[in-house]
Amino acid sequence: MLGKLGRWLINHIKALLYGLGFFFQIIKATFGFIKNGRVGRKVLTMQILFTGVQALNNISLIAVALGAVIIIQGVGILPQFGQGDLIYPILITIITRELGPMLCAFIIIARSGTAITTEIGSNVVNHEIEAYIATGVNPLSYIAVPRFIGVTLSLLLLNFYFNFFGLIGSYFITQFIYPIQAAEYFHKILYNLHLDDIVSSIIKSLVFGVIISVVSIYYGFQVEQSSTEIPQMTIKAVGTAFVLCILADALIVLIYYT
Amino acid sequence: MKFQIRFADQIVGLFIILAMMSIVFILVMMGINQRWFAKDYKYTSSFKTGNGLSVGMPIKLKGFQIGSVDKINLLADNSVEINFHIFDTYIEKVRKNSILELSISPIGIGGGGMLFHPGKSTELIPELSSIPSTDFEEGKKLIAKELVNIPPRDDTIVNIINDISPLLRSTNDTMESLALLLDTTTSTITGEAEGPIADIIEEVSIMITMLSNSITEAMTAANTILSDSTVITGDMKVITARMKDTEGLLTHLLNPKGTIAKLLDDDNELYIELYAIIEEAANTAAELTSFVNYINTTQPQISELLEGSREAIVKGKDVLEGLSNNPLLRGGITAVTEQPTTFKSYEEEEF
Repeated sequence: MLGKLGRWLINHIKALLYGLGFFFQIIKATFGFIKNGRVGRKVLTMQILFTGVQALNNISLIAVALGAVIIIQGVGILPQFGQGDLIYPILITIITRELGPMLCAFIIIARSGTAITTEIGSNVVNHEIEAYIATGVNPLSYIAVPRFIGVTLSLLLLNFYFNFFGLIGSYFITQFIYPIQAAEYFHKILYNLHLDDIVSSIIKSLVFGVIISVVSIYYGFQVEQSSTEIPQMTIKAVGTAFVLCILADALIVLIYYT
Repeated sequence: MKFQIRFADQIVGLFIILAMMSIVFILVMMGINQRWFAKDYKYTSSFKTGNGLSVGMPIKLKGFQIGSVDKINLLADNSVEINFHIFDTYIEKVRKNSILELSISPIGIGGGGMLFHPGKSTELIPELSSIPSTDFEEGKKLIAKELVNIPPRDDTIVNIINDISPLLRSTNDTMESLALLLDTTTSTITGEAEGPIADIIEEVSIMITMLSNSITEAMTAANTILSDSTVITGDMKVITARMKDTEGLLTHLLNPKGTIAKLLDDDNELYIELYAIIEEAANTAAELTSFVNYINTTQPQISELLEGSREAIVKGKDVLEGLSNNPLLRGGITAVTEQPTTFKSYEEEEF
């Protein structure tokens, strides 16, 4: 029993150290990629297209709907307690600080994280990685780094769009139900939106992007021989990315607001 | 999809540029709204207490925010110093003899704030100067000398009364409803209204009239008996007095012309007189018997009348309880278990 526990612990520590080593290898390769970007530039562009551009419609729809629901509920309830102006801090807290980065991360995990793990897993099973190595191409530089940068950058940009649509786009939807003076709404939103909120949102997006991309790539490379390993690793990648994103969010909130 | 892949570079470029533009637009608008790029003029002031003061508190002039409080410090002499700034757009209002006033709502709910009253001088106060507050003598003197432009104040009491007016109107409506209810109750009790309660009250009234008539009849009979009794009592007194006079009695007995002699030889005059008295007593007894019989015959009616009165009083009690438990006041009439009377007339008695 004790031996099993010890082996389990040692294996997990080894896996953690291997993961951290893998992460630093990607960071190291990223600097090389920035210097010699021409090699994987097209891969990066396609990654941003698939992860960022193609997720924009989902993200914008969720942001507008979420913002409109918050405004409609808030405008209906808060004035009854004499706290009508509280709707603006609430909207900013939910859209910018908390749910914006988190919802974007969840959508990227579901859409792109799974795709990356599956694609790299297929490359491993089909011995394409070995072919890259045989032809002198570093698989980390050509496969991992463009995906790492693409996912991280896409998540950051999608978070900007989420904020834009959530704070500004939702106003126009709200007009159909609760007409609010545009000047008053935008003045109060911009007055209550602080630089701290935006910086916090950017930090979360970057951290979530790094987590999703590294975890997805890592589990993609964990596939060894069989194609049946691909869905197993994909499920592991999704679960791990969800858990790490939530833990990271809690940690950032703890550090940032205490 | 082919289009997206063919023009992937352009689409991704546009995606990045629009995202950057949106965040830059938001940042610029934030800066404009939060006055990141505007110059603020800094000043200080002192107050006796920090109660009601807070960092970020707006400084207002005639309802317009012209600045805000930056910092609050407790000094060595236990006075409170505040650092505040005035927006550059309102700097021309910061003239010599200006004062600050901390306004706190008298009822403790909202309405408070830092008010800026500009001086009547045309000379501007330089930045980083101290502006007196109304907490200290310097500020009060400036007001007394009428060197400060202080706008007329709202009448707080009038504002409070205005707030209370809707409540008073609501109370008045309730009182009117209650008065209407009381009028209805009064008219019901006086028999002016119609309905089951009015019928009950009318029945009670009839029963009381019948009871009064019966009592009057009984009183007449009793008076007759009393007058007869008075006559009998008078006769008895005369007899008693005569019997007490022993000497007189003996004289009368021994006197040949006395009572005994007269009784023995008076041509039955005494006997006739005694007989008349006895006859009169017999008549009185007969009248008494007839009165007792009358009482016995009327007793069931009186009993019924009293029973009716009792039931009416119980119903009346229920009505009053119902009124007191009216849904506007409380709820419903309490259920009462009916207790049948134990009294029965002599006619219903079983021997």
